[in-house]
Amino acid sequence: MLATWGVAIRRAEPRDRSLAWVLALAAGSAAALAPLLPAFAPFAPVCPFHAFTGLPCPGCGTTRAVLALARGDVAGAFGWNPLAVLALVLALAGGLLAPAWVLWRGPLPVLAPALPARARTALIALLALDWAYLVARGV
Amino acid sequence: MEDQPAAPGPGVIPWEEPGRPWWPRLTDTVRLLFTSPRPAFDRMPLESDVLKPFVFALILGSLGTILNLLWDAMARSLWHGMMPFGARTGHYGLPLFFVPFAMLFSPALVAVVIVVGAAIDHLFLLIVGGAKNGFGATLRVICYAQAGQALQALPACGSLLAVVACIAFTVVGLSSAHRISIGRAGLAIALPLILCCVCLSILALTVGSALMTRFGAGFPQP
Repeated sequence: MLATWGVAIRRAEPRDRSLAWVLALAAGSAAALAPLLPAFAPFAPVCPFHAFTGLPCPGCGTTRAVLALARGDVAGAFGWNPLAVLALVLALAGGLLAPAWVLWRGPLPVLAPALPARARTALIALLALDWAYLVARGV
Repeated sequence: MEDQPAAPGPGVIPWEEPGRPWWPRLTDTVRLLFTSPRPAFDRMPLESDVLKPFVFALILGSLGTILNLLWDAMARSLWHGMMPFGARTGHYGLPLFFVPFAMLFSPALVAVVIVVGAAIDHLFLLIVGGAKNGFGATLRVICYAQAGQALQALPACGSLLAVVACIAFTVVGLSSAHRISIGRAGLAIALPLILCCVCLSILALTVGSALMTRFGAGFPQP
């Protein structure tokens, strides 16, 4: 099933350790910085794409979503940018668990060097769907 | 006639050479990336410990962020008058009180930005069919592309030049690490912007044709 989407599964190996630690360091840094975000967020620059066109860019709403996540408002965060929140939550959880996962030699996804056309189309469709939602909601 | 001995190979990128102090390795790597980026990325190991390039990125990225904050704090009234958006509402730059805190937390911020940036670039590489060597290779390229942050040492135009240099290094590095053309690597980096522009054009055409259909009927026919 996964192979038709260009994804294979292999066991984690010792050579994956350094990447796992880098991901954990980044996830840990993000978790440590989260409480500071409300203080810094008002000074974040405006989105140039939104300023030029009046429409949200595909990344618009991410800062507000992260602020909502930092308050523990998961539903509110998904409302601002669902795809970004999904990616952030998965990255944060995956990053923090990565060293233990590699130590335990858990299964890892391996993407094919050239993804099949259907997988690429699905990725683009997912991005376009998320962006259409942002435009419709007027984020 | 005796054969000439083979010229010694270029070896690995200076930052990953064993047995040398860190400062000469850092400066040699930055110099090599600015003078011959393609050979520098060709010398980048793809299978070694990814923590080494990550430390390189943390040093250069944090230094660049600190310099950027310093220049901004020193000449903010001058810059802010030139800014197109948000200048009136104070949306550019942090209040001076926040600057030391931002400097203190810059390594953590750089760590997050590097990994998120690599993930986004890798996603678009997958879309253009150019991710031939896995996420680790993309992450290494993004780390060494932070050499461009050295340009933050220049006042006034340093931050803009640093952004351009980091993008240029990323394109060259991705081309080398994933064995793809410069054009494909550039497409992966520019794809988010291109997608936005294409979708916007479609939206403008749709709205334009709808308006023409709606109001065109009211125009006098020749």
